Amino acid sequence: MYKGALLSSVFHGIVLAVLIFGLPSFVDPPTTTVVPFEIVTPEELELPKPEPKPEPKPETTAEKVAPKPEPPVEQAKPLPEPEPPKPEPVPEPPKAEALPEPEPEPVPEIKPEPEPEQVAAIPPKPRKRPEYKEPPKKKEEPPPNPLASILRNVERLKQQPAPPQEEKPAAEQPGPVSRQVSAFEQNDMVRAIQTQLFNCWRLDPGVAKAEDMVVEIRVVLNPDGSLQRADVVDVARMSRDGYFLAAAENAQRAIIKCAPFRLPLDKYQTWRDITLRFNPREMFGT
Amino acid sequence: MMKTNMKTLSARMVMAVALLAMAAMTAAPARAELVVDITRGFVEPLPVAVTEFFGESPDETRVGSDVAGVISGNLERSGLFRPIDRGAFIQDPATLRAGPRFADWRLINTQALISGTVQLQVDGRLRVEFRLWDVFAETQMTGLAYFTTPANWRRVAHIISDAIYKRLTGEEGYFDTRIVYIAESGAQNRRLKRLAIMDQDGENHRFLTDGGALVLTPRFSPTTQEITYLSYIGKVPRVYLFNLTTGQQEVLGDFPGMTFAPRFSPDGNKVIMSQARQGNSEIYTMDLRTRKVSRLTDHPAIDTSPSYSPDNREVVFNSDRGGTQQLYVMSSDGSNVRRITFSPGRYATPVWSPRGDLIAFTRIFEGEFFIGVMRPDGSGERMLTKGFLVEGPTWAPNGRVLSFYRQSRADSRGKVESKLFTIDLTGFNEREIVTPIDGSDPAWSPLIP
Repeated sequence: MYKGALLSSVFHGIVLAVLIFGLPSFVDPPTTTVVPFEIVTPEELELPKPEPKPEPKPETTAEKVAPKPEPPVEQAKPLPEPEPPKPEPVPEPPKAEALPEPEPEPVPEIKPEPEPEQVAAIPPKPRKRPEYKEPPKKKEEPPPNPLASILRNVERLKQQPAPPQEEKPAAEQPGPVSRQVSAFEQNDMVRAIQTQLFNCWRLDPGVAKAEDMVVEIRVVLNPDGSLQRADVVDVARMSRDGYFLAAAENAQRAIIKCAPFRLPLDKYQTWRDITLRFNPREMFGT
Repeated sequence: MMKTNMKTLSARMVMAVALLAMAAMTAAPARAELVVDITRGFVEPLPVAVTEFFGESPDETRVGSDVAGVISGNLERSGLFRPIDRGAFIQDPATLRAGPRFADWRLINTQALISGTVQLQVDGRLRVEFRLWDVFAETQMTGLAYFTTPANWRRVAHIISDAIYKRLTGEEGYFDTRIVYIAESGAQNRRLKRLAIMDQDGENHRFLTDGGALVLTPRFSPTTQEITYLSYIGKVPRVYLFNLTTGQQEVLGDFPGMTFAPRFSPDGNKVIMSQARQGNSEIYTMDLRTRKVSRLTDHPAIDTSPSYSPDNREVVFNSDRGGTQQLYVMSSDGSNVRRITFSPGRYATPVWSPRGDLIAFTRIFEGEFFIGVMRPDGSGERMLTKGFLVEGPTWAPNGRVLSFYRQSRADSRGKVESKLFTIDLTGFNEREIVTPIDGSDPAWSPLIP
C-alpha cells in the first residue's frame, strides 16, 4: 500500500516533469566546440634608420613608430575583437599606428662596402639567367602559342586559335626616325628589344583583370644600352590601383633585369628614348 | 641608378643650342619616340627571400624562425612565389635590422626580401614586425608591426603573409583563413561524417561534430564566423546554422519538405537554399534576421545549388529545365532567367567567385568529372582539373584559388580515398591539403576579422 503510493507518486512526478520540461532530446547533439581567434593589433613601420655603417645595432630598428591615430593600415588592423579569450590588454581594436607611408624612398645610404652601386649590379645577367628555363619561351623565336601555357585547360574544348602572327612589332610609330634609320632597321631594333624583354617579363595571368593591365614605361638608355631611367607613364593610377601598381612594378623589374639592351650604337638616337608598352592581351587570346 | 646631368649654360649658349636644334629639325624630321610593344612574358614564381625574424632571446629566436617558416610556406603554396633556400643567404637577420645590403640579395637572384624582428615585451605581449623590400628598386615596399599574445604567433604569420601577398600582387591575401570540411572515416557503407575545421594550411585541425548525425555541404558565411550545412539530425535532412564563436547550432526555418544546398548571401544576411516537395525542388532564400522566406524559382524542373554573385544582384544555379542539367543565371528576385552553359555533359555545384569575374562549377562528361571556371555570361569556359570524381569547388575569399575534393575509384577491397585539394584559377599549382583522415566538401572562410 505504502509502496504503491510511493511508486504512484514517482510516476506522477515523472509525468509532471515531462510536461513541464519536455522530453529530453536524444537527437540533437548540441555541438559545443568553440573556435575562437585571437586578436592581433598592427601598426605601420617607417624605414629603419640606416646607419651608414650597417652595424648590427640592436635597437636601431623600427622602434620609431609614430603614433598616427588614423587607422590607415591594411585590412589587418580593424580587428574587432569579437571573441572573449584574449588574455591580454589589447582592447582597442585597430591600434594601427600609421607611419609615414612605408615609404618608397630609394634607401640610398645603405650600401655597405661590397656594394656594386645601384644599377651596376644588375647588368651582367641579361641573357644568362640559367634558372629561367621557363616553358613559354624558347630561345629567340617566341613560341608558337603563348596562351596555351598562360591559362590551363585540361580539356581541349576547342582547338586553340592559331597564334597571333609572330610579333608584328605591333606598335612602333612608323614615324620618321633619325636620318639613316630605315623602317627595316627600326624594325630590327624593335625586335631586339622585344626578344630581350620577352625573357625578362614575369607576369601573373591569374590576377583580376590581368588582360587589362597594360603598362607603359618611358625608358631612357645610355649609349652602352644600360638604363638611365624607367618611369611609369600613368603614375596616378599606380597610387590608386593596387593591381596596376603590382603590374607596373613587375614591368619595371623586367626592364632593370634585362638591361643593358644590346642595340647598335650608331642608331643610339633612335633608341635612346623609348616607350615600352607591356601588353599581355595577346597572350590571353583576346 | 638614374642620373640627370644638368649643366648650367649661359643664356647665350642656350639660345645657340635652340637655334641649332631648330636647324636640325628642319634638316631632318625630329626623332620620333620609339614605342615598343612587349606582348610576351613568362609565368614563373617570383623569387623571394624570407629571412628568419630576428630575436634577442632564445624564445624570440625560435618564434622568429617559426613565423618565417609559416610565411615562407604560405607564399610557396600560392604558386606565385619561390622562397630561396636560406642556405644561400649572405646577409644575416641581425644586420638586416639596419637595412638590407641589396647587392648581396641580388647576387642570389632575390627580387623581394622579407625581414623582421620578434620581441617579447614586458607586458607579456608579442611584437612581430616585418619589412618587405624591393631588391631591384632598393626600396621598402611595406612595413608593419603587430602585437598579440605569444600563443597567437601563427596567426600573425598568416596576417603578415597576407600583407606581403597584397603588396606584391595587388590582390587581397587569403592566408588568414580557415577551411571547414566533412571529415570522413569508416567503411563506405557506414561512413562516419563529421564537420571539421582547420587553418588554410591544414594546421589547428579540430572536429566540430561527433559524427552522431550525418553532415553535408558546409558553407562559410562570407562575413561572419558562421557555417551553414545540411544535417540528418533525427533522420530528417535540414539546413542548420552553426556559430563558431559561441558553439551554438540551430535549425534554419521550419520547412515542410527537406531543405538542402544552402549558401550564404555575400552580405551574410540571407541563406539561399533548395527545398524539395513531392519530387520537385525550388530555390528559396531566408532572411536571417527576419526569418522571412521567399521563393525565387517556380518550375516543374529541378532547380538547385544556388550561389549569389558578390554584388547580391544575381544567382547562378543548376536546373534540368532544358532537358539536361545545366547552369542558369537569374536576377536575385528570380526574374530574368537565362542559361549560360551549352556544352555536352551535366553541370553542377556552381559557385560565384568573390571577385565576381568567374563562376566555378563541376562538370560531368563522358564518365569523368571536371572542375572548371567560366565568366558569368558563359564565355571563357576552361576545365582546371579532372578525375574519376572531383567535386565541390569553393573559392578562397580573394577569388584567386579554389579548393575542391578528389575521390578515387574504389580499389579491389572497395576502399575509396577522398582528399582535399587547392588549385590556382589559372589551372596550375594543384596541391593537396593534408588532413588527418579523408575529407570532402571543403568550404573556405572569409579572412578572419
